[in-house]
Amino acid sequence: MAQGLSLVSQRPAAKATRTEPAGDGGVWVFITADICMFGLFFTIFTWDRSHNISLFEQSRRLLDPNIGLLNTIFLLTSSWFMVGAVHAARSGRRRALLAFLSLAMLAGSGFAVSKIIEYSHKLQAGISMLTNSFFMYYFIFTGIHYLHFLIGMVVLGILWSMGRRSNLPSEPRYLLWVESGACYWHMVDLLWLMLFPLLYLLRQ
Amino acid sequence: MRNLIWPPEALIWITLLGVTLLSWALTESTLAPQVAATAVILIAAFKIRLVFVHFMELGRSVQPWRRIFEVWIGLVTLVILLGYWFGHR
Repeated sequence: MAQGLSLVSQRPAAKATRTEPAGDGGVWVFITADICMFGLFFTIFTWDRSHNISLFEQSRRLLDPNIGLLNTIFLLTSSWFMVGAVHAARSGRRRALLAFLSLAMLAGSGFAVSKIIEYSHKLQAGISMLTNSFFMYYFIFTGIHYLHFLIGMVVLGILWSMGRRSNLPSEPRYLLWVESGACYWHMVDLLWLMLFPLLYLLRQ
Repeated sequence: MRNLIWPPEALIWITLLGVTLLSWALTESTLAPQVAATAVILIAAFKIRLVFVHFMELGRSVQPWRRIFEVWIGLVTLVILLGYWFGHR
């Protein structure tokens, strides 16, 4: 299984004992800034909702919680495969690494497709971000999240492409990229985990 | 070979899927809306903690990041629940 691509890192300690986060420190600064931005989004939405409960509830009922559930399953599964990719990279199993990256992208593609279907259903029904304040938040928040998602898919594609090469420029550096990409990908998942209940499930 | 098809943290992934289904089911349950909504937000916070502790590997000793994420999810949960209950008072 191991093909001589010695990705085995000297740096990652066991999960329980490590004191440094997985991946690059700069990525963690970015992730922290990003979750704070979404924290602000959640606060604004909650504040507006508390003053327009009927409107928000009527609008929420126009969303399909089944599609929201499907989106969540796709992202959680993709995130889990990314955990597999990081472990494979650390143990130098290149085939497993490429397989897990492919599976993470495949599950991510499910999210991409279901979200596009959902957006097109809304637009066909005449619902846009101009419909009311709920849908303004819905399109802006999920749109920004979708942009994060697309960037993540590109990152996974780059990692897969780099992983295919037999001679990586610097192996510990490649592992750092895999870990950093994984942390970013988990952040995309994590943000959706609060967007889903806030937009689709919070009933009056 | 086993790890090729079965990544680590499978139990966490199964738990995440299970509680996701639970929160989805709660939305149309016969529970009082306020109770269901509160449960749904608390479940979301629980899921987010599982992701950053197990998938992002933020163990207790990974500071200050673990503390930042704990504070973040605590504040977000509090704000959403307070806003929800304030709106329904």
